Amino acid sequence: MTEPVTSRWYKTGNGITAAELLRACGERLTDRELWQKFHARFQKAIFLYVLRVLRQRGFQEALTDTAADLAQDVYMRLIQNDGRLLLSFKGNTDRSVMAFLARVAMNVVLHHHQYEVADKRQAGVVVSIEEARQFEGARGDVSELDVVALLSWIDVERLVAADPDPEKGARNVLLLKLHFMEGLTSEEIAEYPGFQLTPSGVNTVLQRLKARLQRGI
Amino acid sequence: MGVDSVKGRNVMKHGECLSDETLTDYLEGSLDPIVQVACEGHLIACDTCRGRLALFMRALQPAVTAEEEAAVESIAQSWNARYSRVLPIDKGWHRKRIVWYAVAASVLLLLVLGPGRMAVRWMNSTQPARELVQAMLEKDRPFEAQLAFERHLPRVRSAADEPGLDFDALSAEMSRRAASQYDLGRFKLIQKQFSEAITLLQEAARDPKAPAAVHNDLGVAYMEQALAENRPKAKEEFDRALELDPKFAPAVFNLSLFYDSEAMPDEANRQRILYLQLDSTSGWADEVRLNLRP
Repeated sequence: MTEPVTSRWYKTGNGITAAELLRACGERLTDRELWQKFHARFQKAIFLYVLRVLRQRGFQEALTDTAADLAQDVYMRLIQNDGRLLLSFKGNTDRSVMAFLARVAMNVVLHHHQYEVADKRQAGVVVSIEEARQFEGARGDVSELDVVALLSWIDVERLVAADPDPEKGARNVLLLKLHFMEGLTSEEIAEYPGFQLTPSGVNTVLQRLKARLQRGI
Repeated sequence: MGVDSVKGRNVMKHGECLSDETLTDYLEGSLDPIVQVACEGHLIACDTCRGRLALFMRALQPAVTAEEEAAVESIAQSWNARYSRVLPIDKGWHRKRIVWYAVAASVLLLLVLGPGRMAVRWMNSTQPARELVQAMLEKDRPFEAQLAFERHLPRVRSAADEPGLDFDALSAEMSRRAASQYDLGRFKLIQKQFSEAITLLQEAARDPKAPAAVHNDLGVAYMEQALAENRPKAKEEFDRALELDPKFAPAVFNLSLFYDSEAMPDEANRQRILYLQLDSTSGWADEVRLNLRP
């Protein structure tokens, strides 16, 4: 993929691509001017990724301050061991840079989350049955849960093999699981070029597979 | 998965599960078609990898809501208020943030208004390295003795309480931050590399402008090294610190420990009384009170 990410969260550089900037920062860890460019270009994206992953992990307490601390940790991971992480970056596109930063942010947050969970376990935090029910209730409506249950038990290989487009069979089942089990919308799925589908294309696949499930494949 | 590499890169790691890089490459559509199909086969069967894929898909959504935009602005403000440079964080640090800022502000105020004004000028050249050492002291109390600018933490240590600091990474970071001999000496001291710490702190103490803090920390290094021949040097350094600044409380605190170890309880008690006249409110003062004899 070579198209730039056209988001105001991702500022375009002056003559240097995002991938080049990332690598240059890894090679020149003490170049203040270069790092100022990095900061100006990627700071908000890093904040955004940290914020989103924190929310997805259900983190709510002191969110702003925690996100600022963890964003700092993202920078720390990038430069530690003589910038090994930055130097390991092999991508060339803007999107690959964003994916790289999201990976680092996600790992920082997950590491923090594990730490928090360990803390809570030590404190003997117990989730009540009522809370567990509320959590289950928030996962989706009854009809969707039926599909989730079906997907959990179904012979996935059979479902893939039964797809009229054999080359796309696995991808289509993946779309079904991403939608019904992970809760992603058609629009969210279609944002990614890896699926090669528009939102309506995703919907079509989902409807077709759902109908097949209802017919017992 | 049976595929080992694509375009010179490792794409399958952690046994049969997919690496984060493979997941994002999959979303980007940059995988070889054969690998892509293999990934899809894995993703429909592996709940863990699919969960991570979904996490990436949500995190990388290009559309930013107004609410997210406002939240990011708040984070930026919080960041700008606290950080102007890269500094590692203690995972539990955010809980102690308010206390830490209050202590840091108090120390700064004392330095600026009090006899430490010269010390501030002397130390300004290596502020980033100093912050790194200070962050380490925030994480764990290394000694029973009191280092300069050290916030009080309870001295509770066992194998399970060992600090989870990556000293190799921090060493590299210290060298990048152009640390002074004083900061490097403190850094080595916290790691309990006493010989190196003493060499560096001796160098720092040779500077005629070296403030009380430098002599205090050199005294701590001598005392904690626990070599009989260096013990008198520890006392000399604490005394020198108090010559330079008679109200430098850490040196008084350390003298009380020194006299304890020399089996001189009366003198130790006298230092404790003196300490409480200089500092009656901190955690250090509480600790002194516990050992004070009537």
